Amino acid sequence: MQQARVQRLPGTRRRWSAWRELLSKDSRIFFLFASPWIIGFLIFTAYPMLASAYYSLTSYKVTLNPKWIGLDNYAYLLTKDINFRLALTNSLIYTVFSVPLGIAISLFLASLLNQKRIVRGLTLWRALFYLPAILPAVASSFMFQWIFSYRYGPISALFRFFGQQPINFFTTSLAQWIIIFFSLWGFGPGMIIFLAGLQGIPTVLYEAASIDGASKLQSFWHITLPGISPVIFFQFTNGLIGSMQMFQVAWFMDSLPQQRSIFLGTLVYGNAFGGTGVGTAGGMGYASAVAWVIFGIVMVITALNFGGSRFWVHYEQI
Amino acid sequence: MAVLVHQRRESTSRSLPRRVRSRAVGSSIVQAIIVYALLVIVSLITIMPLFWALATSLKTFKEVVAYPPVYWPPQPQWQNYVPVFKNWDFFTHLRNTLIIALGQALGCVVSASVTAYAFAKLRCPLRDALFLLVLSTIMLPHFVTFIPVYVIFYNLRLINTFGPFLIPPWFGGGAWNIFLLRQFFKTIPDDLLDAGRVDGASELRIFAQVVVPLAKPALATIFLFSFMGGWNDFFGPYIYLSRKAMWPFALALFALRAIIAGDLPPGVVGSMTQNITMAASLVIALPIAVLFLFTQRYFVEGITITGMKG
Repeated sequence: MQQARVQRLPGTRRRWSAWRELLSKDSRIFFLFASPWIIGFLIFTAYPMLASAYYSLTSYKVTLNPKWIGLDNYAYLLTKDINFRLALTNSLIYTVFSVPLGIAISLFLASLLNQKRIVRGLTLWRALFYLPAILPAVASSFMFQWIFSYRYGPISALFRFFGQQPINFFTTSLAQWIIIFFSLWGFGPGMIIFLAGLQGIPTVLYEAASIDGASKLQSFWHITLPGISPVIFFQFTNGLIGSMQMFQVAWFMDSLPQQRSIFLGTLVYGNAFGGTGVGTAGGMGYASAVAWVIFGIVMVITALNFGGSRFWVHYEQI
Repeated sequence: MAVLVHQRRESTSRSLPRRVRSRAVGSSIVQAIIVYALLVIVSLITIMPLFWALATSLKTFKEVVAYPPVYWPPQPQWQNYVPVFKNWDFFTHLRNTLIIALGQALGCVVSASVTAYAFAKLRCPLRDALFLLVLSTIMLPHFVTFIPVYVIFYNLRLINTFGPFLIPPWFGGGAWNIFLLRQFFKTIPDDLLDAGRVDGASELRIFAQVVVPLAKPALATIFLFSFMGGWNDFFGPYIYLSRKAMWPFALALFALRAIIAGDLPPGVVGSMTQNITMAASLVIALPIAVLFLFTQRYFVEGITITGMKG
């Protein structure tokens, strides 16, 4: 992460001149150019955040006026709602497996592709590996699901070929793994970021290590990992935010049993719009409360991660 | 330093006894075999669902349900693709998809580039603080904001219109895009802009005539990202568009989910069967795949900038 270079402006020494600076011609032009984002931030981020915090303290359906009920939504959510407990468990399991495994797989493949002396046709491999990630999620989840089809899928056929009873992946606890596997299938973007990270590590370091008799594994542990630790950190933070609000996959794979397909994301949607399945239609107030709980969890984990990062993330220039 | 190390390495390998050297060559061949084997296995896994979808789309009903499964139909049924175009309101969905994807891409490119220019090249005491705010919005789960945003559009009577897709992109164009373009604009030397300023050109003119032409590759990247985002978007259309005539591909395909999900015999759900649903999935995915293959470079660069310097 690049440190933003603090620009020394002539007027920043004293407070009053800073204010004058804020009204200067330069600043006015800045605000003019930044205004699309500033207005957008106020309308589509700042106001919605306040509104959603307020809604979470009300009972609210979109056609009616919000009715203040204090912390009732949160109380119900944390003590009574079985669906919330299921959704939280499913989302946490999904996150705990898909994020680290995704990082490990994309790092592993990036290291494979980064062996310049061995690997030819980098562009081709990269395109092949990246393809699943850019396809429309509805289409790709259909294709993925079709492979695991109990009656007609090639995987069931493989089981039968070996004289085994095929497994119906979607009705057993393996359903969780199908979703995780599907998310891992889209490892492409992570791999490309790691590949760039690996190429940024000076080869001199590896050469020096090999002269000193270090094994490949040792070089990986002592040079590669510290060198790309900022990338791992970035991937982790990003993956966490994405996976805690995962919605689409669970929604697309219609054959998933309900209790396996309730995630925090689907719980918010189901309560707000009364979707198919997901238990309660608690309205937009309740959905907002769930959303804030997701936000809270993400913030806590991210804060812990930031706190822990100084022990393992190396930012120094090599 | 690098040269020195290199030379030393050369000399050590040259001074090694022949036996040791040939073992090193042998082990590097083994290593290459292992690396390629792994790459082939992984690409088989990534391609497998696509291959199976293609094979299914070319099968007859009988072949879809056959056991042992037909891996590749002896007589590919290309006519399975006909109902995708004829019975499925294909062109309505295509039009809707294009309106959303192109509209979103255009708005994002224009407003993200204007905003990014401010954060990269213009001066204001609040600039760095505001930029931090831009970056922090990336961390915000969209579930926190989507309900009030829905209520805004509901009150504006814009549900079941393209308004919710065509309006927001003009207001900032997305934090990632701003970030990516700012990184790019920062590489443009200030001297170029100052030359224009000395000549008395307005900032807008400098932006349009100096910066934008230089930033074409970066703008193309943003355009591609947003276009694909719009093409693939499911959640937005799902909450805002309930009228079938407004549906983009993602929703139209989603409506066929029961066909793939259920282990129903072919033909039970409506007139669409598994092979035709797979044909539809491929038809929707194909433009994106082709677009990606031809513009891979932009993608790789865009992802690298956002991922590495974030």
